[in-house]
Amino acid sequence: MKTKIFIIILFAGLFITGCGEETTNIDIINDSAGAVMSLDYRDFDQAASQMIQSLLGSGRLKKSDNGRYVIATGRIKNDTMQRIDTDQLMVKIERELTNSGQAVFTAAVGPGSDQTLLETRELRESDEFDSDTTAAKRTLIAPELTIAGKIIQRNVPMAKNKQQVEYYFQLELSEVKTGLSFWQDEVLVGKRGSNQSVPW
Amino acid sequence: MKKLSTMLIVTMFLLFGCGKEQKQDSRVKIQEGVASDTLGSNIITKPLAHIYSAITGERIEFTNAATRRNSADILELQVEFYNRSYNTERFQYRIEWVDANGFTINSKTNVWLNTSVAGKSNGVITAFAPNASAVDFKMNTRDQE
Repeated sequence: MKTKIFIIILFAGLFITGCGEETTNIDIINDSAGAVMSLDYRDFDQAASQMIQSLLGSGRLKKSDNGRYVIATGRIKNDTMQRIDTDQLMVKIERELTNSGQAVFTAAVGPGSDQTLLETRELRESDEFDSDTTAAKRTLIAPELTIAGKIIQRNVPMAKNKQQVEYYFQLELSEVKTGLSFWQDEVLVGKRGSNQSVPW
Repeated sequence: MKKLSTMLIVTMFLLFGCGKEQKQDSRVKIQEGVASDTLGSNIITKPLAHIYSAITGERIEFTNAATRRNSADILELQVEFYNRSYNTERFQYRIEWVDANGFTINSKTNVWLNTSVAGKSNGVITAFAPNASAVDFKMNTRDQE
């Protein structure tokens, strides 16, 4: 009887501890894992890469005086069922456009503006700070362009318990002075899979 | 009789090749079901042509890669390829840009991207360098999971 109990406990122990999935780091350079129904980092990489290339390839960021455009990042609306920080997309785009030498981004305006930037400018009124080290008035550079957009999700039911999920990444670059659209593009990431997998 | 029919099929293959394309403008590729029948698309010989294509492992053939600078001094790449098989081929590619010193430019655009091309069709990949310092490129491909 004791032996039986011992064997049962031993097997139970093996099942509980031995069948757990091993944790591994993702190889983000050569990730060969299958697609997922939700948006993952590969989708953001793909969308950002295509958007950057579209914008740089359009030649719209080339200034006649070889200067750089000052761009403010506007609102990127998350119109999906997922909790997304849209910086996952915009940080890549801002980084690449800055590195391209054709644009700089202002942190002074926009929904993601750096509040500390504005707070530090108020220090000029304080007697505690050396006035030579505080920022003077009228030194901030106003943006010439704004970039805004949205990410849309559309679920399409299919036959045989399948579903199609479409994610649209849309971005638009507009000129502040005229309000005219400078550049616009859309990247579609589509997925098909079981309707049991919930894309959120 | 059986020998004769086998010889006939083999001779047809040798004479006309598999999936031989009709004389037309090389820029236009017409798929099965659209173009007139060839030995590769005829309802009787089609399975043999497809089997031949599969056995010989026909897939993507890269035919040309060209670069030019756009109006913003950004290097633009166009890679042309042709799908020799009868099936739609899906694959991934990653382009890395190289500066004048031979160093790879670190960029968020250096990621695996998906593409596909229908059977017996032309495909094209276009890409733009992340900045004006790029003078050349390297491209890798892998099977799409």
